[in-house]
Amino acid sequence: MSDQQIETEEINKKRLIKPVFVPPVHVPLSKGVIIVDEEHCTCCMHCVHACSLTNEGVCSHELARIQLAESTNYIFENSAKPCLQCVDPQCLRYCPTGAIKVDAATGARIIEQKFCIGCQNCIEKCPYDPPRISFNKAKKKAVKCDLCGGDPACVKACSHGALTYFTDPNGVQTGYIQPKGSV
Amino acid sequence: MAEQYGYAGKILRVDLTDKIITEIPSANYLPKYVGGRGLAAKIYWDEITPEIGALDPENRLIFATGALTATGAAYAAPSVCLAKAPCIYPVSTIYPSIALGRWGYEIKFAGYDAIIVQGKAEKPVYLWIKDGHVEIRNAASLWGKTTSQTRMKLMQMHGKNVQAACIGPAGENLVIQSIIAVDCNTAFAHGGFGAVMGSKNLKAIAIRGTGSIKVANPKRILEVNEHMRKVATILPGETRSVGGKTIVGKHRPPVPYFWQYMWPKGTKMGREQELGLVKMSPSGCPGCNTICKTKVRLADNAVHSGSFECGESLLWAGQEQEYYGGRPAGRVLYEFAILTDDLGIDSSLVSSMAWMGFPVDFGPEAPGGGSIMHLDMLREAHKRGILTEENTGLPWSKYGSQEFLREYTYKIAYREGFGDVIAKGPALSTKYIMEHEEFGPRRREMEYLYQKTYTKAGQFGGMRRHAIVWGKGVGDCVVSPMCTLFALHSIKRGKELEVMNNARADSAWLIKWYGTDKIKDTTYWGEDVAKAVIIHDYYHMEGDCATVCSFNSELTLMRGLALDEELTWGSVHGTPEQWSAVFGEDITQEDLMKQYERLVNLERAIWIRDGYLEGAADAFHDVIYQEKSKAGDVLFPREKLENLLSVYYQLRGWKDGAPTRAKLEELGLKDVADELERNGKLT
Repeated sequence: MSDQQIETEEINKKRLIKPVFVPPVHVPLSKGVIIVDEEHCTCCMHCVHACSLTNEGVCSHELARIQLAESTNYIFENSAKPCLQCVDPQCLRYCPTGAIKVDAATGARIIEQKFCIGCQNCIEKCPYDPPRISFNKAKKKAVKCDLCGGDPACVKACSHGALTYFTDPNGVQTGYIQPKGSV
Repeated sequence: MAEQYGYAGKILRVDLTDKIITEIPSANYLPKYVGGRGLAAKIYWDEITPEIGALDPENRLIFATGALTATGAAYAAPSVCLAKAPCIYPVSTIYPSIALGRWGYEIKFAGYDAIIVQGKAEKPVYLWIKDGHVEIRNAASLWGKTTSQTRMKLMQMHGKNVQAACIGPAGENLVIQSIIAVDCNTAFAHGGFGAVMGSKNLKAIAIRGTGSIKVANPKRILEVNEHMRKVATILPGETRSVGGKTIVGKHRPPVPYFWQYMWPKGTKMGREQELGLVKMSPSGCPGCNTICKTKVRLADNAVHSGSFECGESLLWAGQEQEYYGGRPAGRVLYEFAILTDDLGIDSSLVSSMAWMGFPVDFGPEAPGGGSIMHLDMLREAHKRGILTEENTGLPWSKYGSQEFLREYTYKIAYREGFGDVIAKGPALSTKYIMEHEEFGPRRREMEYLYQKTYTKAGQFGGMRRHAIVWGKGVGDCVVSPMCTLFALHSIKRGKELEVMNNARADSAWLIKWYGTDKIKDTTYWGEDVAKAVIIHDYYHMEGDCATVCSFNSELTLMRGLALDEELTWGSVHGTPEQWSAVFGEDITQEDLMKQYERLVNLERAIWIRDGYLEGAADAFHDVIYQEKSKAGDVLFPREKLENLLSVYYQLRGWKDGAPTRAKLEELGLKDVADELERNGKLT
């Protein structure tokens, strides 16, 4: 067994969930995505604060839907890390309750809070590091970027011009795409 | 109980002697003492009595966060470290040191408004704090390591998102000018708090907070932030609509001015060949639109990479230019930043402002007081034959080179040879040199050089230079009339504007801000200046209590006032708009001013209780009164200054420089008046 398989098995043992095969899903493309210009991002966290203030009404780093990679200053490949609204959203695919769905207006992959059971499967399955889904410990629910209904607060707050909101009514080829023949 | 906005609600107390960890409710202190510097000053008043020495176990090391920190308000990244400072001469007293970065955010998200450390551990320890869980851990594996090694080690142990405050070898060896390094290469630099931490056998504090801070009106905070950002970053000739008005930019903003200036494209680092330069990128503090730092990553990522501030990289430039010739090209800059940060030494100890266009002149009439730094003083002593290669062991012939820098900093941090003398602190080392015959027949001149360089007494006595940074209020702040006067005088001479914003000619904002056009008149020392001094005092107190970065808010302020008065809401240091949005009450500038007046009086009372009486602290050294401008005017005419001081005391409601009972009671500080009376120090 490869290292990755061993790791997966350990995780499954811990969580007492048997590995379940979930077929890939075909969902409409997102109509918008937040793009980061890493050269201009200084990790000033304006976006993080704006996100938590807008969506949660508090200032927090943990509850923001947009994250920073690791510590602000030490790891140099750092910049703001928004959700990429993947073509093949692994979070949506592996959500056991179907709480994650596609927003009709923006095409954003959103979590319907009343159906979320807090299993954190989506966070685990997110192919990116750090995972673009945050976990609200107090409410025991996963929270993720919904593009603020088409007017993202983080993009408005960015003072360095590092964040832009790119839209295309026909859909954006973005984020994770399942490699051919892998399933 | 009503919902608590803005504050975390608890204060953590760690007693290292008895290993007792307790929490006290912030409501004992807040919101009466605002937060940050004011909160810490009140704790100082309650707990640090005059008998306690700066390096005694009973001294308290207080890390306090500001009222606006971690609320999402723009520019509110700084936090305060306050204790009885060993660096101050002749009597150790209160000193608030300010550091930027994420440190304050982590404290607040971990659930605390402040952390008080007291006592002394038997063996080296460090604190590990995560969301209200506190442990005192063995630091045997960290002791002796540099600050960046310590930080990396703590990150390996506790996760990469951990924030650490730690001391380097200088702090462990109780070097008086040692720092506490926080975040990544920023520090509580002045005051000698590294030595205070070292005296407690506390190597580091690692902290991680995942909580959140409630605010009253989140949408309004974002609106205010956007407003301030628009004013701060408008380009010359650009038109923007702000707050329903159309403004046209006049001055160039410092973004991305600084980092390009510091590390111009194609800069060759001194150790690039040795270590391999990988990447440089712009960096700043949380919640700020200014890029005042540069992230530098070398091949040995772990140890020497970091983010460096403009000051660190510029201040060795003069020396470098002198030794290597040509334009400073970063041969030693990076070395400088690494050495001072890693060893944990105050970088202004090894810097000079000569390159930035400030004259370094020790002539009796030369206006040198504005720009002389410690190393300039030692250099002059070397020129005068007091310090030589024999009696110091330093390669003076290679002054400005990497070799000199390494010798000098290592000697101080490890207290070897002459370094042990310097590590006693500026005042005591000068005394030592004057008393020892090996320093030759001219050694008595050191007193003159010292007086040209350092302030006389009081809050900055024997510690801060008469440096131009006073005026700007970058980093540590000023609530002492003499310091403020010096700062104002720098403003009058136009130096500050010239350096900060290339906007020397346009000082309209100054007149609006200080409410008088006399501020431009270098010969006027009347009541209007006394009023301006008070405004300046509040302005700094405001920055340190809120805690808002003085550098940015001043830029925004001057840019805003120059454009349109109403754009700035009267102040930018945590505007009343920000306060109202965070705390949910309608707070006006007058309310805030009243709070700051209370805090200024409290600090003055501490000062008096610790042993500074009456005007003793409010005076320059005699040599400063002789300084003359280029036109030949006396810069600080003694009689006029003394007259001005009495006006200032009168406006403050003080008698002979000390707060009266009536004034203290008016401000709700009856307990302070009572204790001063018990000590026989109430006038």
